[in-house]
Amino acid sequence: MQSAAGYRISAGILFLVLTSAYFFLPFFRAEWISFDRRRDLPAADRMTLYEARYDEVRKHLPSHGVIGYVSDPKENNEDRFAWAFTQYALSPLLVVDRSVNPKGREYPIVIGNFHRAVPGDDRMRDLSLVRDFGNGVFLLRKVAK
Amino acid sequence: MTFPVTFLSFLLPVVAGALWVPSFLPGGNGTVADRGFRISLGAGVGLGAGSLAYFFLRSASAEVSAARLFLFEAVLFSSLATLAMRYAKEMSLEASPEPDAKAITVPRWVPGTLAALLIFLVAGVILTEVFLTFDRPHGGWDAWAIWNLRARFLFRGGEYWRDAFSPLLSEIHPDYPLLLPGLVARGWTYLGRDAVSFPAAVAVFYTLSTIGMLASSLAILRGSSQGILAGVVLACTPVFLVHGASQYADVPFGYYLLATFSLLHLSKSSGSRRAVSLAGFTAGLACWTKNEGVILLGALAAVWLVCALVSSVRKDEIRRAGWFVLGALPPLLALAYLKFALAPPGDMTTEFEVAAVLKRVAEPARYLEVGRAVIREAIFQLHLPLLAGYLLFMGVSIRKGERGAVLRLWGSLSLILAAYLSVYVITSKPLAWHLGTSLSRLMTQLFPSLLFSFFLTATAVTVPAADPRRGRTTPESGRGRKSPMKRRGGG
Repeated sequence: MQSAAGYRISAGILFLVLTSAYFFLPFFRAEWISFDRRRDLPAADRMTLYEARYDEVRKHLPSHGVIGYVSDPKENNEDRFAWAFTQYALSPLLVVDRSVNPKGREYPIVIGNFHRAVPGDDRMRDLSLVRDFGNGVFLLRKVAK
Repeated sequence: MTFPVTFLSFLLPVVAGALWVPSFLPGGNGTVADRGFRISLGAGVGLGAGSLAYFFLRSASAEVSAARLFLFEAVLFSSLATLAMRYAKEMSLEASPEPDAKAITVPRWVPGTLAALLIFLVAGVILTEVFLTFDRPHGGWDAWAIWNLRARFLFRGGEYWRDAFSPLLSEIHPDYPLLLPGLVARGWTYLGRDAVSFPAAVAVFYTLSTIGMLASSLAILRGSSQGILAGVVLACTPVFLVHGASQYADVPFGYYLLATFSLLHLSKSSGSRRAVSLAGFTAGLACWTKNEGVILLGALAAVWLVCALVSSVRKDEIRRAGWFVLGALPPLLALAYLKFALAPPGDMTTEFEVAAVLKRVAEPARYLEVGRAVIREAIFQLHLPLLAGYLLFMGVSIRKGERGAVLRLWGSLSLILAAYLSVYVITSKPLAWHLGTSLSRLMTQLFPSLLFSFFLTATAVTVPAADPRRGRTTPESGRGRKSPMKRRGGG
């Protein structure tokens, strides 16, 4: 290897490798520490726990088709998270949020997903309680007019 | 039981893919790079074909059992593999010409040390992906709300699997392509349950295959040191690893993008029309992965058109384009069936209003906001200034015979990026939200291909290998020996 060019090339390779490692190693260390901390926690992850809330009610729902969905108002994007995860947990049922899509009001079976209190507002209009499964999960039915 | 079944469900398409690839890329030179490229490419081609096969079976029959799926795949994949192996054997090799670009020689221990570092880093990447998956076993928001949700519809839905495309799900994009959901549902069918671990395994598989394909393709084209350096940079990019473990479709899409570009580049130097058709197939699989695949096709078509207009071998360019389209047909037909027969129109088309778009196009503030976000992403997430620094040390040197091909590569990538940025300029969604939720993923899609283009452009690092006839140095792998692509007959 030629001397001046050789040093330049070695410096170039070293520069790329070291700076790449500079970004990787702290990231790897942070993930390792985070993993180590979580290993001591007894509970499953948030999503698995959230999905387990629907284990009981699922037995009382049809195997396919469309059901309505009602929830209490939440802050930030939590509304959409709660609905999307309910849809994920109950698929292949189609879960239509009554507060977003007016078509949701047409379906007789409605799942209630409440995190604070059952709202007394317009959201619950035309709905009667069939069963409370605990953890804020309710099976509701549209009242025939 | 989950692990062995997961392993076996990967094994069938990966082995089939690895057997198919040699018939499209004849004449391997047996180096680690060559084998690595064939395996990492074959893996993605096989998995993509597995997704298509599952979708075909799902569309054709109400019930897809593990036994039926296995029988269908075994017959389809083994007959294709037998055909491919027969064609691969008929080909003969021919030495490739010497490289005619500047290359910098380094001591022999340098590639060895770099290779050891890359192996160490890959182990680190696997651990990181496990840590990230442990943190979010269901993946990121889009993973469970879009991709795995649709896999659940395909797997759990029975005869009602088409509910996955109901307009009632318009909020979660029922028009998105099905490579990932199909692949996940296929794995769940073999497992007999929708295990959370399977989509996570698919995600890690694509992340590692992308690193493998980048390193090996560059090692074939520019020598092992250049390939390993590219692999090191990609493996050390946290945003790539985060998106890799998120179970989103962006890393698989980036994989097929890279596969398409590397195959087109390899085919350019050998004139192999089979390699072009395989590039077409991987581009088709990119379309079967994400809607952005259409932008890839558009960019390739635009660059092809310009080349055909200015090229002295216009007929040859048109013929190559024909082979490319032929290869892309199977996934594109599946996509056409999905888009025209099953799914409702996407939000990009339904929300498109010409007057509103024109108004947004005339707002300079939107360009500034998009530009600022792209620069932030390029500097702080993809660390592109590092590459600029490396270039200052090494300089630029592209092989004379490949200058056109490298220019095409940069041209295609630039067009894709320009198209992505234009979507932000005209989007009807709040711009800051749209940028914040997707720009990082879109730039991660392009990053492996950008590294591929970058290391083809930067001066190659090689080790000295004395050539007694000429007394000059040659690259340690790939083109200095036997070309992996070159064969008699050119096709």
